[in-house]
Amino acid sequence: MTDDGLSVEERRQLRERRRNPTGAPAGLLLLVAVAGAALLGQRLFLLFIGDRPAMQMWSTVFVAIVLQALPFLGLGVLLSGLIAAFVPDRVFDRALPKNAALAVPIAAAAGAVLPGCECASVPFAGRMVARGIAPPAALAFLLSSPAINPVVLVATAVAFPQQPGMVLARFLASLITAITLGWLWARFGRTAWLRPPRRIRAPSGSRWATLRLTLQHDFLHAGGFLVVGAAFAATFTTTINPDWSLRVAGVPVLSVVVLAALAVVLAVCSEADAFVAASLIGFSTTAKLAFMVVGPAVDLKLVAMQSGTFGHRFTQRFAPVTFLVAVIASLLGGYALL
Amino acid sequence: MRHAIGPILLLTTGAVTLRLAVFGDFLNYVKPSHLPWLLATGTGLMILGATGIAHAFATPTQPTPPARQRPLHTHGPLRADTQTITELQQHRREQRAHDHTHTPSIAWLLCLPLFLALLVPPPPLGAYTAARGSATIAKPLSTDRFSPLPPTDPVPLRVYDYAERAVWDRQHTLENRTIELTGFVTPNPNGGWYLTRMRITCCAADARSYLINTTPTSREYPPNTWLHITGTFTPSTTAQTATITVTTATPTRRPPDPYEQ
Repeated sequence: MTDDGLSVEERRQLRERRRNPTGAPAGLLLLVAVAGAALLGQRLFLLFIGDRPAMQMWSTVFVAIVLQALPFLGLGVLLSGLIAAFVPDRVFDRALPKNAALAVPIAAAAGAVLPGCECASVPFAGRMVARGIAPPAALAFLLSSPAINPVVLVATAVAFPQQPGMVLARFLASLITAITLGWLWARFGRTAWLRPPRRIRAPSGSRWATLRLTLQHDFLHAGGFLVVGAAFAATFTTTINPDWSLRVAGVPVLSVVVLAALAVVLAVCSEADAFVAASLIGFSTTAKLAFMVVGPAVDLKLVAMQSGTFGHRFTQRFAPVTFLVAVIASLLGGYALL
Repeated sequence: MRHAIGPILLLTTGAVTLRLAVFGDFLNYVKPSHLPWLLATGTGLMILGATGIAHAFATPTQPTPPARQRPLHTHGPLRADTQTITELQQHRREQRAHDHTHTPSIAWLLCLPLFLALLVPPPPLGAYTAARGSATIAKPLSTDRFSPLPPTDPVPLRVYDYAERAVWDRQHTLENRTIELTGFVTPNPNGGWYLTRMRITCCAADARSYLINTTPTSREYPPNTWLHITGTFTPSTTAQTATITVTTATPTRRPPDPYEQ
């Protein structure tokens, strides 16, 4: 701002008007820009990736994570968009008890019905908060839904056929993590930390238009942050060799923490993490449990999407606490059930 | 035009997703059963984008504010008359309050993986990834339930199936049988090469490599050569690794699905 109160953007507009009073044919410019970017992009990609196997591996994993997540993202956005556009206000008021102590466990248990990975639950929780669901309940749902839905539990049972206790341990540890975080947020959380998405209403008042605008905004927004998370996860997958972690496989508590940290940086989909955990040779079942409890609750892909949906002031508090609680829940679960 | 940016991004995302799904390139990144999901997502995004574009061009763009229509009186390079400034600021505030079609700038990042997959399609994971891990074969989900091999001769097997049987099968189902395998070459740092295949559950991010030692080691192949081999089971000299004695090895094309499930 200067003495005449103009922002940089407005100064630019003023200057632009003097230079180009008619306004450029924006469509034509965009087409030329896209064609140019495609040609330039190909050269740039080739320059960076070329024949380097590490860069190729990075690109493969990066594209794979995005391609794997897009349908689940779409599903989460579609379901929450439909609910946000067509379910009237009074239903949201009555959906959950006003008392957070009660609302949190109910919301966490409701996570069992949204089949899909973590990519579906983030835009879903964001949209629910925008429509007036209390944040603690929405956060409990956000954490529980990718971990305790039937698809994930069946996958866990298939991956650990000789340890039927694993399914129960995973279910309970994840549910306890979700409920604890919901209660913690209800007790200590501040509204100022949370910057949830705003409710979208079409100017025409049409519900279909509201649905279209909500879908468009949520998909583009969460999709952009998904790409950021996928880029980080691909970087770690390429640079960290999981076999390095084998050196600590036998150490009691350290091995649990190391596998939990591995779950954060590798960002494996919650439907697949049981198989990855089962293939980690030499680790205790508690460590494998931690890998499966931490992964769906806090990993790079999720952290990126959460900070996009709820703001970074939220994530920098929520993610570390979630990690800590999930590790403790896994230790307890492993001690009691495995 | 500004309102069409979001829908155009959606349309592009949908189109690239559909292209990867229809032409089969998606198999280099995710499991085959992901196909219907990708088709549905691609189609849905294209419909959403097309509808949005139609709306963006059908609805008249917001009227130019009066302040913009007036000729601009400037005093010096960056100073404008106060009334114009106030009206421009007012207009901006109103626009922000009502604007639901605003496209979040982070959305542009969606172009990165899409154009990467379209312009320089990254190859499926191969010898570089496989060589990072050890050749140790993880204990399979259940070691006591290896189904008997089919009576055909030779027996076609998946690479991971052979590797797991070779290391963990106490019934010795592989012994005295001729086995057929398809995989790619990963050089063994100690000489010779491994027949390799990656196994995925959901996508390439959760890939695990299965390496089978080959004897005799006389013949060399460049890394990532796809081979169709027949051979017989040979016990390994190192614990928890698999070995095969190669009878014939024919270079072959990369199969449409480079991974095993």
